[in-house]
Amino acid sequence: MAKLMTVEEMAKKVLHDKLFILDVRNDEEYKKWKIEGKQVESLNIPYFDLIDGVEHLLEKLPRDNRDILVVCAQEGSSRFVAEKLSEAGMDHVYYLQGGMKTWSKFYHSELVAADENLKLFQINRLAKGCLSYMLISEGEALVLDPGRKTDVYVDLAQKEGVVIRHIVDTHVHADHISGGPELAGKTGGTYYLPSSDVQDGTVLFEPLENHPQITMGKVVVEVLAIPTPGHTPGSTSLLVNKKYLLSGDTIFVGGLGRPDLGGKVKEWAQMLYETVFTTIADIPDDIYVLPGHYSTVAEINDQHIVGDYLGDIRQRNEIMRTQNRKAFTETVEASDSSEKPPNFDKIVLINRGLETVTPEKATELEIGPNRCAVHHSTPEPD
Amino acid sequence: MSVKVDVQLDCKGLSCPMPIVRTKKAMDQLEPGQVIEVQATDPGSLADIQSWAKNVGHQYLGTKQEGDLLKHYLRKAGNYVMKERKYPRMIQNEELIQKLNSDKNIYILDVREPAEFAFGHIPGACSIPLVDLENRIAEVPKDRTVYVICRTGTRSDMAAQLLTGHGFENIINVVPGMSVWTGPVEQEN
Repeated sequence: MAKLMTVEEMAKKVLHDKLFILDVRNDEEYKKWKIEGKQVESLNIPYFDLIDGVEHLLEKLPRDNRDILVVCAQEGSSRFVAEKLSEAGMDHVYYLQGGMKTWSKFYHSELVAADENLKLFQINRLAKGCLSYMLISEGEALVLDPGRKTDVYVDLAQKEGVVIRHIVDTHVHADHISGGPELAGKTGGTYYLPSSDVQDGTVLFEPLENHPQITMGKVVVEVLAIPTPGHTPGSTSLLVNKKYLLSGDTIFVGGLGRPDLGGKVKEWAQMLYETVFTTIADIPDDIYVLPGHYSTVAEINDQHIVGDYLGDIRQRNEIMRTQNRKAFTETVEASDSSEKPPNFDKIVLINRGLETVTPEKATELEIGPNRCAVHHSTPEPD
Repeated sequence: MSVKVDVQLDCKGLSCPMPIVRTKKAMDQLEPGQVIEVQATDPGSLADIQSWAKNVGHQYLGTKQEGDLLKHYLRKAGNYVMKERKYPRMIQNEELIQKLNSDKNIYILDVREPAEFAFGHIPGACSIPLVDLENRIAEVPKDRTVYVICRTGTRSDMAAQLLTGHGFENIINVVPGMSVWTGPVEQEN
């Protein structure tokens, strides 16, 4: 009998272990978006090529002791194929509970730092490469860039015995629907957004630019809001205790946030140049950057955290050292011709409060990778 | 638009893999050239049925959406080898496009299945599927030049022979046919 694997069980394997994935969705869906991990090997054969039997597939499957996980969009087709594999004598065969749809809504928390004054969690939505954060000090919490599944933050706060007081979005997101307004409603916390990203939107928020400092607990944690326009005009990074730079979509471990999603690529590319060579240039190398996204699993470090020292990021990413304004802007403007986040224009409207959708529709809109980075040095893998 | 088909298959409420599993079973029962309408509500069936049809060689005709209901149309692949065309009078697609540019009143007879016709045909073309042609032969004008077209020129070749056998004198087969047609096309709504 093929066995069920939950997304929680799969997440552990994706982060810590070896896994062989047989993805039975059609090849276009697979090319756009798939499950990745450092020790994950995957193979795509659509389920409709396996209706008559799986015999021709068996030789392509591993015969070591790795688990074989069959994955599809929702669950039905992966179960169908997994059972055929079991009947054909394959062991260690699993199918993924709820398929890619459930995987896209799974969040994994990892503790980044803990001392007597500060606890910092990185909450990784592995399927999309979206990162959010919870900062805790003296019984209070600040949540940064929360995803739509707000229970994750409420549950974590409860487990930690803290109250969520502040909810911040570094910018109006284009790749996922913000959980900010809902979380503010659930917790009574204040929801902050940079006004210049909201424009004529109707979402209720406190202008982030009016709060150059947000204090938590007994002023133990200093949160410094630094305008870092480029990915969006309002993009803001938070410097925590002069140690951690929560950089939103401005700086990633693997590069910079793309400036093209607002339809003003030339203008925003200039802003990004100013940000990188004035604001960020003043921040020392030993500040630890915790970004809003990653685009490949190579950006996840051995502690299962996506983050790196600013100095190392500068050193690795040529674009951060490209001081020639023309060369810099031309490179980041090139992002305009690469594939955009799925449904980004609609998601922006929702995040500005100009459109509402049902939870089912929201899930559908968010399916797929984040695609928020400028890819300058390495081409995007197919 | 309602489309005449040979078989209707109800896959409403089923999620994958069942719409494709059932479609495959139903297709196995069909004769080559017959058309099936698959009714499904799973949005994923749209991409999957196209990919599946392409992989196994069936002809995907198109999909009509009515609210949440998707109606997919497929034509079973023929297992016959491309026969040599026997009817001698032929015209290339490009020549017909030129004729259409100068004369909109050309009589074009499209002998494909109604569903194939519905998802794209030359504006003004008359639809009589090859299998019905003998019964409906009176609908074809004897005093005009008739350009017969199908997907690849095979069915239209047979139609041209049939019409000539019934005493029609001005019959011309259009080759290669609609599969590579680059001229104007309209769809039924």
